[in-house]
Amino acid sequence: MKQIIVTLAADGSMSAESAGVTGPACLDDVALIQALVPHGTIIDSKLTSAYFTQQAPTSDDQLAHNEEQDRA
Amino acid sequence: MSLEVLLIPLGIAAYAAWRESSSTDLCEKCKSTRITDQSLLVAAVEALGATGIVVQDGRVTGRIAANTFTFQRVGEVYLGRIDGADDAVTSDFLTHLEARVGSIVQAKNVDIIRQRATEMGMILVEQTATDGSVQLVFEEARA
Repeated sequence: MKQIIVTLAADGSMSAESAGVTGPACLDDVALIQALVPHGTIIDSKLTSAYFTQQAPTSDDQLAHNEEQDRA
Repeated sequence: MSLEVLLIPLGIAAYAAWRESSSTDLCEKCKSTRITDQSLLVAAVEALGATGIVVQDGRVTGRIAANTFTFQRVGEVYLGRIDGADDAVTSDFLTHLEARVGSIVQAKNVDIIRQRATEMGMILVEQTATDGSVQLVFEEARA
C-alpha cells in the first residue's frame, strides 16, 4: 500500500516521503505530494535506496532483452 | 520509502533569500527574519503579546512590553528590530518571534494538509508528535 508521509517541523519547514513504491514509479509521487501540499514549494528532492531496488523483469523487458541478444 | 522532498511553506523564505537579506542596510540596526508574509508576521507579534500594531504596506510597527519594534520588508523578507535597543535585545526578540512563526505555520499547515488529503480521497492512518515535529501518514483510499 502506497503511503505519503508528511513531517512538519517546529520551525515550519516540511518534508514529505513516499513509501511502498519502488523504482521509477515513485517519481509520479512528486505530483501527488505537490497536490497534497499545494502551499509548499519543493526546494530539494532525493531518491532513496528503495528507488534502486531491483524489480522483477516484465515480459516486455525480457522480450526486449532477447531481441538485443539476437541482434548481437 | 523511495523518494523524499523538502518543502518551504508560503510565508517563509528559502534560506538563500533569508541570508541575502541580512547584508542590507536599508533598515538601520534591523536583523533579518525569514518571514515573507505580512499577515504571518502580524499574527506572530500578536501571539507574543504585542499591542498598538500598525500595519502599512511593507512595514509593521508596535509595542511589546516597554519597547517599540519596527519591521520593514526588504526584498523578499522582513527585517526587524527593537527600536533603540542593543543588538542582543533585538536578537532575543527575533528568536522568540521565529519560534512563534514556526508553531503558527506548523499548526496551520497540519489543518490544510489534512483537509487537502480528504479532498484527494486519501486517508490519514497515523498522526504523531515528537520533539515539536508532527508527522502525518496518509494512504490512498482503497477502491
